[in-house]
Amino acid sequence: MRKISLILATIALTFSSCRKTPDYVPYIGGNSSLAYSTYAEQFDVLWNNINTGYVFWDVDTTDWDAVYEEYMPRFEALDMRIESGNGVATKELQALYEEAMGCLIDHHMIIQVKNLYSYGHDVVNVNPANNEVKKRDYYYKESYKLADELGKFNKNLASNSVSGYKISYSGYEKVNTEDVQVTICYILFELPDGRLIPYLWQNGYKMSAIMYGLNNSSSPYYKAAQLIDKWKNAALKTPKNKLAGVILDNRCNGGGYLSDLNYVVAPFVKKELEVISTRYKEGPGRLEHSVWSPVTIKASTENRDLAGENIPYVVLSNIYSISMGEITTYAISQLPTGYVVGERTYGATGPLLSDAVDMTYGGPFGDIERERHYVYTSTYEIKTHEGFVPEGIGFSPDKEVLTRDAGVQGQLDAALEYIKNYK
Amino acid sequence: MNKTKLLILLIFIVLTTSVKAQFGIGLKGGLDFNSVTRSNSGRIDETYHAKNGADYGLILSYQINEWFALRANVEMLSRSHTMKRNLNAVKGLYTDYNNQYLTVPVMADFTFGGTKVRGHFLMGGYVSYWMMANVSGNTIDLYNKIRPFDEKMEFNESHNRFVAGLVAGPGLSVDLSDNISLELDALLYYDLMSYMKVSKVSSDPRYNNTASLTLGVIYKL
Repeated sequence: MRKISLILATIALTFSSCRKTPDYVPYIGGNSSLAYSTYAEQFDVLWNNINTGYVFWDVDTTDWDAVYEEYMPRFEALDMRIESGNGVATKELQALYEEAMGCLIDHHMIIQVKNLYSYGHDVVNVNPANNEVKKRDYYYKESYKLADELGKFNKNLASNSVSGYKISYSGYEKVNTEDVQVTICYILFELPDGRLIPYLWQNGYKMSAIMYGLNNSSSPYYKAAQLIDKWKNAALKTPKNKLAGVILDNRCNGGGYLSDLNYVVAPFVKKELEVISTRYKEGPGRLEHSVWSPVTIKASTENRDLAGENIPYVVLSNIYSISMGEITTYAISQLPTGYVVGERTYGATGPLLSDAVDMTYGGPFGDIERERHYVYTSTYEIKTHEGFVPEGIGFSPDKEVLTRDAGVQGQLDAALEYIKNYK
Repeated sequence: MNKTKLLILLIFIVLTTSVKAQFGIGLKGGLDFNSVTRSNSGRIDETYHAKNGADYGLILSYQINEWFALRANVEMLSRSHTMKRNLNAVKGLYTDYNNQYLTVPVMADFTFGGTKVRGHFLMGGYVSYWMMANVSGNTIDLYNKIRPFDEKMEFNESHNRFVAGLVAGPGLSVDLSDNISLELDALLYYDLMSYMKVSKVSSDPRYNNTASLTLGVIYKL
C-alpha cells in the first residue's frame, strides 16, 4: 500500500506541472494604493481593474485583451519619451485613453487619470457615453443645454405664461440636496371637459431625501416636498371621473435614489411588481457574476390601482433621461396602463455603490488625488424581465416624439393628447 | 531502450500471455468528492471548498490475460464544489455548484492477488464534459438583503466545458459466480485542463480534482 501511495504521489507531482500557473491578478480593494511611476504602469492598473471589476463584459463587445496588446506599447513609448527628457502633453494622453477606453458601454463611466509628468490642468477625463450619444440619429443638444431649455419651458408653464393650457394649480421649486440641486415642477392640467391631469417634472431623483421635509415647514426641503405630495395626492385622491391620467416627466432627469420607486411607482400598483433584476461581480473573472436578484416594488399602503380604473400613467423620456430617470420610465411602462412618450433614454442603467469594491469587485475605484486615477463605474448590471440588458442602449418609448422635431413642448402636447383620447 | 521499443515489448508481453480474452459489462454507483485548485491571487475573500456528490454509470472491461485488462467507464460524475464569501460586513453568502460531468475514463487494469478476490490498479486518461450545473446558496440583493437562490446555471463563453486529465487508483474485485463479480474502485481524477477558459493576457486557471468511490457489478460475457 505504501508503494502504491508513493507511486500515486509521484504521478500527481509529475502531472501537477502540466497545469498552468496563474498570472498575478491585482487585488482591487477599496483602500488599495497601487503605486506606480510610469504611464505604462498606470495603464496596467486601470486595465486590470476594469478587466476584473467591469460588470458588463457579458454584453460589451470590446476586445479588452486586444486593447492591452495594442495600447501597452504606446504607453511604454510615452515612458521612453520621458526618459529621454521630453514631455507628454495631457491632450495627447487624453486622446490615447479616449481611443483605448472610450468605447466601453458603461454609460455611467468616467475615467479620470492624472498626467504623471505634467503641471497645471493635468487630468484626463474620458466619458465613453458622451461619444456614443452624439452618434445617435436623434441627438439634439448637449445635456446641459437641453436641460436649460426644458427647465425654462416648465418654469414658464408653471407661471401660466404659455398659452394653450388650462392649469388648475402649479408650482416650481429649486432645492439643494446634499450633492445636487434639484428642480421640481408640479402642474395640475385641466382638460376642456374638466378632467384633471397631475404632472410632475424633476431633474433628479432625490425624493427619498426631500420628502423628509414634508411636515417640517422649517426644512429646506419643505416647499419641494409639498409639490411632490400635491402631485401624489392629486393622482391618488382625485375621483375616477375627474382624473384623466397622470404624467411623470423624466426628461433630462439625471437619476438618483433607487428608493424613489416608492414615490412614483409603488403608490400606483396593487400588488408587488418585479421589473428588473440586478447582479454584481463575484470574482475577478470577466464573466464571474453573482446570480440575478429581482428588484421588487411593493405596493404602498396608500395606493391606487390605476390599471384597475383604466387610468393612463404616461412618462415622458428623452435622450437625457439617465439612470433612475430610465429605470422609473421602464417600470411605469410595465404597468398595464403605463405608456412612454418621447425618445429612447440614455442607457446608464447600472446602479452604483460607493466603497463596495471589497464586496462586489466592481463599482467606483481609485482616488484622483491619492492614487492618481479614479474610475466611476457601475456596480450592478441590470436586465429586464424579458432578459434585455439596456446598458449603453436605453429604453425606447411607446410613442416616439423627438425633441429635434417636436421640441420640449411638442412632447408634452403628445402626452396630453394621448391621455385626452385614451379610452 | 527508447519509448517505441518499450511499447512494442509491453504489447508483446500482453499478447503472448493472453489466455482467454473476455468482455465484461456492468453498472456502478457511489460517491465522489471534488475539490478545486485555484490560485488566491486577485481574489477578495472567496474560498473554495470540496463537496461530495453522486457517481454512477457503466463499466466496460476487456480482460486480455490474467493480470491485465482494459477498462472504460461511461459515468456521470458530480464534480461539485462550494464557493464561500468571507466578508466581515455580510455573513452567510455562498454558492453550491452542483455539477454533472459526463466522464469517460479509459484505463489499464493491472490485476494481482488470488483467484476469487483480486486487487487491481487502474490508471489511464479521461475526457469529461460539463453537462449541466445547478447553483444554490445565498446572495445579497440591491437592498442589502440576503436572498436564497436555487436555479440552473447558465453556461457562458468563459466556461471550458470539455476537459481531460489523468485517472488512477486501486480497486478490489470479488467473484460472486463464474460470470458475475463485484468491483470496488477508488479513483482519483486529476484535470489537466482548466474548467474556466484562460485569457491570453490574464491567466487564472481552475482545476477539478475528484476522488471517487464506487461499487459495481460486472457481468462477464
